[in-house]
Amino acid sequence: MLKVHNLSVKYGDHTVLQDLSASFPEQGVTALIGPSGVGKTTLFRVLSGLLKPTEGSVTSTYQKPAYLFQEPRLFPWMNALENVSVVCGDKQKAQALLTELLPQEDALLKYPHELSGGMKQRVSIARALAYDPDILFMDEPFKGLDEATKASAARFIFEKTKDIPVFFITHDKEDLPYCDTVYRICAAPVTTLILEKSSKSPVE
Amino acid sequence: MVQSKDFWLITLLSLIRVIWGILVSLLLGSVLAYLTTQVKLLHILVSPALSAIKSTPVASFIILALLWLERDSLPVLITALIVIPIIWANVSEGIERVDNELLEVATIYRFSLWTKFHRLYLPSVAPYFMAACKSSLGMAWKAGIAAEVLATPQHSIGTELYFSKTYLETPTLFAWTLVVILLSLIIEKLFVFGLERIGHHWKLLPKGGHHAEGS
Repeated sequence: MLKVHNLSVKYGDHTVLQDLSASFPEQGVTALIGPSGVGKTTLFRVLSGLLKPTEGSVTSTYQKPAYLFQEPRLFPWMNALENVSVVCGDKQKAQALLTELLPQEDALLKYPHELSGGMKQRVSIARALAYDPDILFMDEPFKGLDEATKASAARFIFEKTKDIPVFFITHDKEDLPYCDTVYRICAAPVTTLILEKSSKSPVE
Repeated sequence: MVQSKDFWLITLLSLIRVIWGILVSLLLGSVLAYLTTQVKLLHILVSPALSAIKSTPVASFIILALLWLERDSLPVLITALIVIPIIWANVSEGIERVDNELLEVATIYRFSLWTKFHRLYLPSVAPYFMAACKSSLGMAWKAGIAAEVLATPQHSIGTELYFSKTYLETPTLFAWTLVVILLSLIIEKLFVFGLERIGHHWKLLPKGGHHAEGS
């Protein structure tokens, strides 16, 4: 179960989320769309437990959330393999996941500054999956990836996360076919989530 | 001078005092830095005290400490008083500059306290710690020997310098000064080399770039 009740988040005087109440799907892929600055990332940060709301509450039964940030956020002093194994303590599992995402043999032992942007993002995907999360949040995870890489990364993620709810923020309409549910977030006068697509009603 | 038995004893004992002072400072300075970055009130209390220590003449401490301490342990205390503020300032800065984005990664993936310390804080602080060591080793020698000159403990380079002043033995003064300079250089190189080896072995020091990726 994942729901928010009368949720508000303020940064100083600036209100980002205002009085939002919603209940989120417990399975499938849910996308959150909406213009920049409307509070999508803030909502994800609250739902994943990274940010405490200013007012209201979050009820979550999930114990192991994983979060794919917009940036890869790799530890610069660890190689790709260590960046993944640090979350699960299992080098073999980390290696298996990484090899599927990064077929180049020597990439596993490379440090982040030796990897391209796309490779780094794939390492962070492997890290999130190696954690065995019970819910996955992704904040524009495919930003900056070329079409082919993006398609294979998306297939890989959704294949590996079939049994857990996946939430992701996107600005790209081409991502929507992957989604079972699509919410558009609106800011004024209070924050609301408008259901644009559910698994029963395909998006137009 | 080098051939005499006393030379080696004097050099060794002075060396032990200064190294002891440095090790105590590294430990206390780092622990203090950790505590003051965690407890704001402690930072408010400690920060002006350490600033005051930094700007107080070493001689004042030495003379004051002479009244209370044994002559042998005084150089250790004086070395520590000079080095602790440097270690504290650098390590504090290192802790405060730990990348927030990487801290969030550690939070979301529920790093244990040990993993957080070993995989995030230590590598983040290591370059600051190294810089502090490099800049404080020379200071430690100067302070330690100055303390020995005033405290004149038995078997110490400082005491020999004091005697050379008393008996106006300029060649002895130069010879011991040269010994101090050489020891200082050797110890600094060895210490930094040793720390770098440890740092690389435990992957605490960066290979190449040292910035959070994508931040």
